[in-house]
Amino acid sequence: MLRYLIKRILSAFGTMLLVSVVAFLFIRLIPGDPVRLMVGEDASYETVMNVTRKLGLDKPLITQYGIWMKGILQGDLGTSFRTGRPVLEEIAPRYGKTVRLALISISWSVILGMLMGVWSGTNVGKWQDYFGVTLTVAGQAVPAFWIGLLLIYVFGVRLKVLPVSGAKNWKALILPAFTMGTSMAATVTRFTRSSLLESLKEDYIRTARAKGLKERVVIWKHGFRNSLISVVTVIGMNFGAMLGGSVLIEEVFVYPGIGSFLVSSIGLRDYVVVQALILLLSAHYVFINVFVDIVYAILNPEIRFE
Amino acid sequence: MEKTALMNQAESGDIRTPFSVFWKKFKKQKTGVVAAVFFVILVFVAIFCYQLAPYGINEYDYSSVMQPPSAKHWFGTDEFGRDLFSRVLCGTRISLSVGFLSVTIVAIVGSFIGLFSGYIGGWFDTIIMSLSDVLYAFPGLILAIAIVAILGPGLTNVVIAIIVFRIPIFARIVRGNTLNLKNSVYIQAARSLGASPARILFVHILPGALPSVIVQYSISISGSIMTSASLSFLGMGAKAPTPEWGLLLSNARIYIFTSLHYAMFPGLAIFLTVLCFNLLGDALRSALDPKLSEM
Repeated sequence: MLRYLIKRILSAFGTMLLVSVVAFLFIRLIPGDPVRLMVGEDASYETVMNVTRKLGLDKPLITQYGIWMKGILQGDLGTSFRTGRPVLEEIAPRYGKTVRLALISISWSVILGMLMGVWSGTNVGKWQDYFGVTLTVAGQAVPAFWIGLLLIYVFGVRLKVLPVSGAKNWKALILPAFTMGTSMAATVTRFTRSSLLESLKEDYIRTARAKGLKERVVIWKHGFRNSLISVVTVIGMNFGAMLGGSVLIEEVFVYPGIGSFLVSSIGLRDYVVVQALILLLSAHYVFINVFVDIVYAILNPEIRFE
Repeated sequence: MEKTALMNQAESGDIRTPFSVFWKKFKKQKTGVVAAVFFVILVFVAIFCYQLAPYGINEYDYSSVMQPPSAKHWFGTDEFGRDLFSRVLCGTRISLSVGFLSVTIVAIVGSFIGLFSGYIGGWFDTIIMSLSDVLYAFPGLILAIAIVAILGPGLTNVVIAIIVFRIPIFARIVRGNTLNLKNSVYIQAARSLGASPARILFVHILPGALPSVIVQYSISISGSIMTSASLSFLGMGAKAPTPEWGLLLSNARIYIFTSLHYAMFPGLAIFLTVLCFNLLGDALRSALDPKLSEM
């Protein structure tokens, strides 16, 4: 187990090293002069030179990478070109807001998804199953930003019961959290249903039924519990993707998280911020996946001895 | 001449070609058949959208801006009085083109990479797989956004972004299939008969990997239509006055406080198209690869 753990964590660091190279090359890959793009066409030659020097773009590539990496390890992600403040300070409060939104979305969608999955999986061939499967298929195909707009219209414009933007209070989180969790709820329903169907075929279920256990106990204690492993994996994998997907939701609801920050920074050509956000979001994704793999290995001995 | 059993079979149309086997399984899935019919309609609309559209897509009419749906304008009009139905109809061509173009290139390039990576193995395989790990390390849309941020906004760059971030998916699937098939008995037989590596790869291994590629092809098209709509919605994809669905939704955003129809129909178009390709993918998977259909 320990060996697997170390191997998995080392390989994640390897991936992150390569990711950091990609994120580092980001500014350098922009065609033309990124500094020119950042300061604008009318800026004087001196301004251009100053910014170039400030970003360290006048040094050799390897040196630049070294300086950048050293900074990151010391918690310095650079300085926002637009505000002149450290990128870390800019990101931190927005990051908290995005994580909060993601956690709320994930909570409701996982609970609902599991309930729907079990409901649908224990009623195969009946209307409950058709209902569940239809919702699942629809939920996975619906564009989140569209659902967001429709919800704004219904609850914000027509019924006037919920705020449609910002993050002032818990009420403002309802619509974005609902929107963000839609596809997740659909995915969880689908996986719960299929893995429950899988585990209900097992011998121990027949044994449990033969023992005369109540159907509810058979399903929840024996069937559902065993299907949980694969569901947990799907949840973990989607959590990382959710942070990426937050870009669209935050745009729709003008939510002040890192997703909308990324879009506005691209628009304003604040590339130092963009670079830091790309690194941060992918670090997230990579380490959540490691975490999921480890949990999975703990739950499933077959994998760790491979 | 006496008829053989095979000839009888051939006459009654019972001969089992790979396609007939596939078709028999595919037909059984009602949702798949409905999706296939809808797919044909989509392609038809995409080809003949300019003939079908009742108005020109850039036909301004300032006397009737933001009109709700009516007999004259089925989907209503936009902020310039353009007919939304015509615009959504012609958006089909854009979304399908982006989807098919990007995914066809991805499928070909990705399959080649996966085929060689799995067959050659060794350091080549290690490099390719590490590279694909790096691409996998970016959560979904973020990589596409980063690529468009580098290349600049526009539909061509959206296509490039989709290609880059979907290549590892195909490469991995085909690589996995190649690894499985590489040491199978029929490949060994082919090798012992003196078949060249190229023949083994393209005549013997590639057809074996094809079912998974076809399934992924359909699912990837819905994914890439969604990505392109998302990027356009964020202002990084299609530019005005292109009637791209994501861009239409992005324009509709500021009008959502007064009218619903503008946001309603482009979104519905994305939803139905993505749904169609997802269902088609599911049905193809059940028909082609029974082992995978449980997921």
